[in-house]
Amino acid sequence: MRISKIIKPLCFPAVVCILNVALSFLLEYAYGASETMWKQYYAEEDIDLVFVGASVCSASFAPDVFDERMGVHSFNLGTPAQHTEQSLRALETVLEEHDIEMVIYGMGYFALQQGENADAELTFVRALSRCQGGLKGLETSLHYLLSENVRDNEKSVKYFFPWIYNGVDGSPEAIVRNLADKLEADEVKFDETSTEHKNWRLEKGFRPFTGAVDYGSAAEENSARYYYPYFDEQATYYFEELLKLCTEKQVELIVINTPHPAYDVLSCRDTYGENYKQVEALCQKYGAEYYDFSLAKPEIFQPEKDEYYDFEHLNYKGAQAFSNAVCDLLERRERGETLENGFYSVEEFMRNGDYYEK
Amino acid sequence: MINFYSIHFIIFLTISVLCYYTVFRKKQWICLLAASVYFYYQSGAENFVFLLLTGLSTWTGAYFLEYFSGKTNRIKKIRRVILWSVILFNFGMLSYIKYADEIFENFSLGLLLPLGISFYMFQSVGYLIDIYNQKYKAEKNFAKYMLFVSYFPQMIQGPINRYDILGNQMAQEHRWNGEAAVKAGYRIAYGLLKKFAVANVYAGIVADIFDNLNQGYAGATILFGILLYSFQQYADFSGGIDMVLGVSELFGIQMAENFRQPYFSVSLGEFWRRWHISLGKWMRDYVFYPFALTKPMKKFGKWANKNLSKHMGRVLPAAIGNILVFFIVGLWHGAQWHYIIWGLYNGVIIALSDIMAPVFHQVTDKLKINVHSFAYHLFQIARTFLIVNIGWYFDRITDVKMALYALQRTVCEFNVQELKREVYILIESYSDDLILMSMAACGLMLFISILKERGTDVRNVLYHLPLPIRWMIYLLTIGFIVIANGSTAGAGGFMYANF
Repeated sequence: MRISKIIKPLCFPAVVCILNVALSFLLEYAYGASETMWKQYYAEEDIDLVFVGASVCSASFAPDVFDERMGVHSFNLGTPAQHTEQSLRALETVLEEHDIEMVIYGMGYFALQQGENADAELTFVRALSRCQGGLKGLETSLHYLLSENVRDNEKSVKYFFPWIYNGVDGSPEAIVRNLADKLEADEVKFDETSTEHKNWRLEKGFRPFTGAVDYGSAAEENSARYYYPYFDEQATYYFEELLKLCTEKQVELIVINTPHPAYDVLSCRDTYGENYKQVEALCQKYGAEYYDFSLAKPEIFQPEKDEYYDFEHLNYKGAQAFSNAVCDLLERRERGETLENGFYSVEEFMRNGDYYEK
Repeated sequence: MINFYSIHFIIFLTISVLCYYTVFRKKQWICLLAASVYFYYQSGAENFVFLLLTGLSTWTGAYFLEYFSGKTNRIKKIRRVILWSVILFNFGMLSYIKYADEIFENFSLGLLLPLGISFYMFQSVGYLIDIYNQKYKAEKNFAKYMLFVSYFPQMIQGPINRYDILGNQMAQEHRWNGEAAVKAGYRIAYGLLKKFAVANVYAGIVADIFDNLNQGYAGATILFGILLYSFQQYADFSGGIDMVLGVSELFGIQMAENFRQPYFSVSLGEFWRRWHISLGKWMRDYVFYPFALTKPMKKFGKWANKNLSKHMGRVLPAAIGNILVFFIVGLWHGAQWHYIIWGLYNGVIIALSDIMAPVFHQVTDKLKINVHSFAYHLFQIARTFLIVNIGWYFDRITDVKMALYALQRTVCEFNVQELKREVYILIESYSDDLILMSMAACGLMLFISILKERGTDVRNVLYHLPLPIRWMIYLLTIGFIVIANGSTAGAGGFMYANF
């Protein structure tokens, strides 16, 4: 009698939990960007160079190129819409688990202008927790859920329903395809020539795009349209924390703005210079080097027109070229060459006519 | 502040309920006080100062009011001095915190409004006045009194409770009741559904219209926005109240009801007896009646009775009282002209409808309208809805000039052809599923309201449905809440938490 009194009220919550697990299995992405990245990360044994940042990072730095040219073991920790807070958390995790010598923060000029994206954040933490597994995974989840910024927020409940924030659309075809992906565990083979937008994730966290930007859409599709022109307080705060962390751990940090087509830089010409100065000042404060590849002179990097995927991302071809350019830069730096002359100042860039050719 | 839909609140509530019915079974009020202190502490330790000042001043005031209980003129004078000192102290503090920023730029402390200050202050002052009127005995135990003042479910947006109802329940021992707990769960879930599937979905669209009125929206679109605001505000406020009442029921404590299907009212006066009921009753008992019973108002009533008519002698003092009450209600919402105009609009309409009542009767008699017919009843509901919605223009639009401009566009530049295009742009960023879900939730709200209006105990009916049907309804409701919450980011807290 007493046992049934205890069990009865638990029946309905149990059904809700089972249904939630079933829906998560059906709808949660088979190869979510965060989950694949963390899976690949935990499959690596040695890592000494990491790239962190949002999609501009995951799509721009090809770890194979760095490994081959520099003899390092690199890994790309970039995930879509990764807020600087997640970059910091990712870095904390990696610095705890590996002897990292260098960190490259793939900034994308607009990393500090975007507020938090709750869905991306939840997906990121859940994927990390799941890939860590066991007690460590549980600790990651609890630490996140009970943290000051999250425990009183609605997202602390949303966290338990991944099919809401990291799910395929509800169409039968999408569900069947997702289910097939999960059951077959057969990843889509990468095709560089594909123009279809796919969730590619190659080895070592590299997540390239295929296809090329349509320059005819430049007037509508640009950073000025999609991003708030000024820096977000929280994003800037966590960026500074990231700089501090590297200083404390004595890890070399290089902040790199991945390249944007010239028309996109021009779309933000009113605020570009001021924002550049702010990032530069923050980096200088903590002794980090800062390079903006949108301002690179041809001898440093000169992308072809078909090397951009859209107004802010490079495609696979562009990423290969860009990764080689960054390797060149690091080699020249190693040799003690002065690198400042390889980049235009913002004022020079805005004045210089040949940027139209970029 | 602890958000009701958060992991923190779920853990807090689970621990509180468990402790309440187990280790604190013999001293449940101590458990509630500890939970309330913890809950309030989460909103900022500095806010305790105001809570303690109100609690201490009204408790001490009540103690001395009871101590001086004689009938002599001297004692009466002392009692009046105590009463008014405590009232002025508290409302002075409230006014300073609420209005200093608006009125005196140089004298502002730049304080954020402490959580629930309006609600606990009205509640405490109500208690003090009741003790002054010797309605019941004063509470001797300060800690027990502080529980009445700080009881956590009422701290976000009321209701404004009465000590003789709430205090007595807090003193009793409550035993766990599974059926009552399940029914409390229904109420919480219904509140969450209203908040997430209706209020939060519409909040963005309403803001897009009324924060950008200078874009020259068609009158039809503005009217559409006001109608959405009606739903948004009702779903937000009554949804929040459903949640807090449900949470309180988990402890076996019934708080005052705050809504009774207000949009089914047949007059504006009735609307305000069904909307924010606890504030209306507070105003009636502690402002309207004391004002109407003052010597000058009694004299004025007699004068009107003698010189105008019997009807005027009865309604004129009440009309002035109503205008005063609604002026205070407007001011309570904020020291801004749009709120004051909104309050006065309501007061004046109610006053005029009372004064003009004989004329309306003559008109309906002349036109041979059956005032008891269903059609006339529907007409009265529609008329009241229209009047209430005109008032919402001044409540929602913070600039009086813009509110008048919006009204002018609604009447003179309705332009219904533009409605489809403008609404399409406004809802473009919302998924079709979310819009459909919010419409379904509105339909459900209407259905439940009709059942309640007919006297059906909806929760009881649901509780006795066959298990498969009941569980299906539970699952659908939870699904709606989870999906709606997941699809609307950053809609913020409760609208009435700002007051």
